[in-house]
Amino acid sequence: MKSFNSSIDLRVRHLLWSNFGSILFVLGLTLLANRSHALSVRSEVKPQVIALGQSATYNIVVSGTARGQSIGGQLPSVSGLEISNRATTSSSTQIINGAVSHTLTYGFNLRAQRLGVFTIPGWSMEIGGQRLQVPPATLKVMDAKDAFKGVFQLDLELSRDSFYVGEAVEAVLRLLVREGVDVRLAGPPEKIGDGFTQDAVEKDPWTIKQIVRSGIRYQQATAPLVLTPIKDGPQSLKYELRLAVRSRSRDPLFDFGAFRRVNEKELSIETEIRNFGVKPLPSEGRTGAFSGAVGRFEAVAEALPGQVSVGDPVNLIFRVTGKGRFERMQAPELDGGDDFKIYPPKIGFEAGNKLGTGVKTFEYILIPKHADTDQLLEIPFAFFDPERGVYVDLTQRPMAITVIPAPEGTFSPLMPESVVKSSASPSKRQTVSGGRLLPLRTESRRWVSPGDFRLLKPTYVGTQCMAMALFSLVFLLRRRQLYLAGDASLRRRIAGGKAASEWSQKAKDAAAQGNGEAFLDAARRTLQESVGRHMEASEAEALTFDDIRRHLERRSADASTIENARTLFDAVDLLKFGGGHGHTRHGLSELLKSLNQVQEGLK
Amino acid sequence: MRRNFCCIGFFFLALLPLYGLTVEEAFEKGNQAYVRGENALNDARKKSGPDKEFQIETAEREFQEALGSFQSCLEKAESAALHYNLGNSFFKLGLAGHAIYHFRRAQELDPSSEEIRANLAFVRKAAGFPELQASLYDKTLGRRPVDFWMWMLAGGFWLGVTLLVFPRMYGLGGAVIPIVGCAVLLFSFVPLWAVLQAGKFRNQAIVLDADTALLVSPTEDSAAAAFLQSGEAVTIQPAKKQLHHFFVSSDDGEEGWVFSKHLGRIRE
Repeated sequence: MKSFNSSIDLRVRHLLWSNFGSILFVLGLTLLANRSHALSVRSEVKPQVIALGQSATYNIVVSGTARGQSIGGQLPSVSGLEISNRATTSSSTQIINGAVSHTLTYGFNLRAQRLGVFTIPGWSMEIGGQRLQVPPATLKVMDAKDAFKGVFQLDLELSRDSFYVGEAVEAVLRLLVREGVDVRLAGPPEKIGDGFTQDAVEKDPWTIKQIVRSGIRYQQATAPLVLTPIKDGPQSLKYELRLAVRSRSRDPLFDFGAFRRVNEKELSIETEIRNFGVKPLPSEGRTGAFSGAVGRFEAVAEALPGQVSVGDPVNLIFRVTGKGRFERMQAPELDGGDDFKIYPPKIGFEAGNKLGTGVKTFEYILIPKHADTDQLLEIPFAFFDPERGVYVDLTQRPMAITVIPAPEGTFSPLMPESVVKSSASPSKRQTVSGGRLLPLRTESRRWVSPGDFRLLKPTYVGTQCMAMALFSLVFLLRRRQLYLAGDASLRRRIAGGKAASEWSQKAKDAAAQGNGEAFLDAARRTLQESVGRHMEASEAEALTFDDIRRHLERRSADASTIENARTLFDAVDLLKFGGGHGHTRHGLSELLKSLNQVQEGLK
Repeated sequence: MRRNFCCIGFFFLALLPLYGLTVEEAFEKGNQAYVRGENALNDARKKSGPDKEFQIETAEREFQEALGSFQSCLEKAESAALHYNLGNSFFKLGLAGHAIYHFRRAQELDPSSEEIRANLAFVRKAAGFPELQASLYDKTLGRRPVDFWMWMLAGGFWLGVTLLVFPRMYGLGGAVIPIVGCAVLLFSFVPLWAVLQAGKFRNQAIVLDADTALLVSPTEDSAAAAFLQSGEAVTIQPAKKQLHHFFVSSDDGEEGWVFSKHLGRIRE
């Protein structure tokens, strides 16, 4: 046993002097409150599970103490566990409804020398002359690789391992987080397995409380779920949950107030895979009254009024209460036969306070067709009880009703609108109120192809294409016009090219007709226009052979091209100045070839 | 059951005389049958006992005949008036889901019609649906068909572009015309918004039959996760379409597969 009297006394004295003002204030309040409080002691180890080599803190929390009281006692010793004899001390004061409560916490460092579970036994301590029993506390020391096992645990709990298709199965998802671990749920639980559907869960379905399991304290969060098996045969199911684990910054300087930083790391945990047997609903015992309801239900029917005239409506309300799958419950099919006209029921549902409970209402309108009727219809209804595995028939026997003949010449004003003629014309008042079904349209107006909804109809697309083409054409023509207006050289080239083509065609025609004079004239003009379109300073018609030769030389034309041009010009000169017969011996076809070659050279 | 067979048999028999009729003729024949049905109901008001019952049955038969005539029109062509009359006939026969679908189709073809809007609201109310909250679009631009807004969009665009481009090319100076062009182009955003708004109905459908199962998988023997009410609007997710099933989500957030024959698409 170790003594720690001296160290604690020193600490308490130090605290007394350093917090003198606070103590006076608290003392004053205590005197004002004039109340005395019983002392109590508890012990705890934080964290309760550590890896070998790590340290934990053994806290003794004394509540209801007055400052300055002498404290004494001897710490127990535990084999394999080193308990420091230097305690850290902290204190707190709470004032609740005028009652002042002081708490002193003494912390002792623990260090284990081996693996195992260490229990610090209960021991006796003295406070202000009063002896108090400190309860035992437990520390679990594990190997470093196992220390984080069991920090989080996710379990799926179901009442049974065998279900029926369509049954509402209550389940609980249980999350355990070891005390001292700061976590945040990073998402809703996710079901893995297609054999079940899950009802929508609330935004925050979790209920949190503290539990102790094997001496270790845990935060336990539970979420209720409602599952529905949808396929028969063996099915497996598991859940996944994403958590964000928070850890505080280790910065010793800036770990307070706005500087405090919390790091989060996401991880996902899963339940074990649970295997279930899902059975189909048995055919044995199933009657025509069964319309898909699975669960435990009770049913009542009522009809109002109890006495009606022929043609007057009767409200038949069939109400089913209980627990189960209300969505699968279809409206009972009533057979009115020759006695009643039946309209499709109005279906309502009101959920109950507990999960899966509620009231489903089917409201029928029946119209008696004749006065001989003395009872309403049978309402066939049966459900399957999955816990007992049997069908339960709750078919409602026909209720008595009195139907009297309708007064002569009258027709019930309450008759549903669907069989009442709307004789009024669609006035403004009616269209606004929407209180009646407006009459037929007698003119069909515009017919279109059935089901042919297209946003981009061919007419529309065609029109847009034409508009685009027209726009582009006008734009390009105007742009070219503007371009030519500002560029004389280009204008000259285009005009010259056109003129050269025209003269060339004339030359070919003349050659074909054997008209030498016309051919030579056209050939000369062809060459002049072809070259003249590139010369800004001269008119094409005034160009001589020398001009053409220089142009051909600049364009690196070969000698034969220049010679052909010369031949043509010489022939023209001969025709003009020498009578026109000197060069005709070459023949027009030869000259045409020469012209073509020169033109090629000019290109 | 025997009664249902009789109704179906009568329906097909009623269709026989329609063979060879033009759309207009079949439409007129349907209207006449519907009016006869209403007259029979009128007569039923004044009678009692077997006579009254007879008149009610006659009315039902006439409404069936009217329905047959209108449906024969639908095989060849459709119009807002035809869908409107189909909606009326289905409602008279107590089939609210079909009636709502046809009124919605009629509204697509003629969104400006107050009659269609009034009857749709009436049938929805009768079927137990809450009153539709009209959005700003529904109250304003939604009163015109989407085609109208498409043409307005195109017209506004080309006019705006023309005013911006050509006056400058033809030497018409000044800032007024380009400003007008810009204004016209900006105004084109109004029909563009209308077209985009109209697009939200593209995948909407109406549940035709009562207690339509919302299936877990697109198979014949799939379990039902929930049931949809006839006349309820659902949104089809076209990416998940199967041969005979649509994957839909309801306004309540429920999702599942629905056999395609139980749905009527507002836009085919």
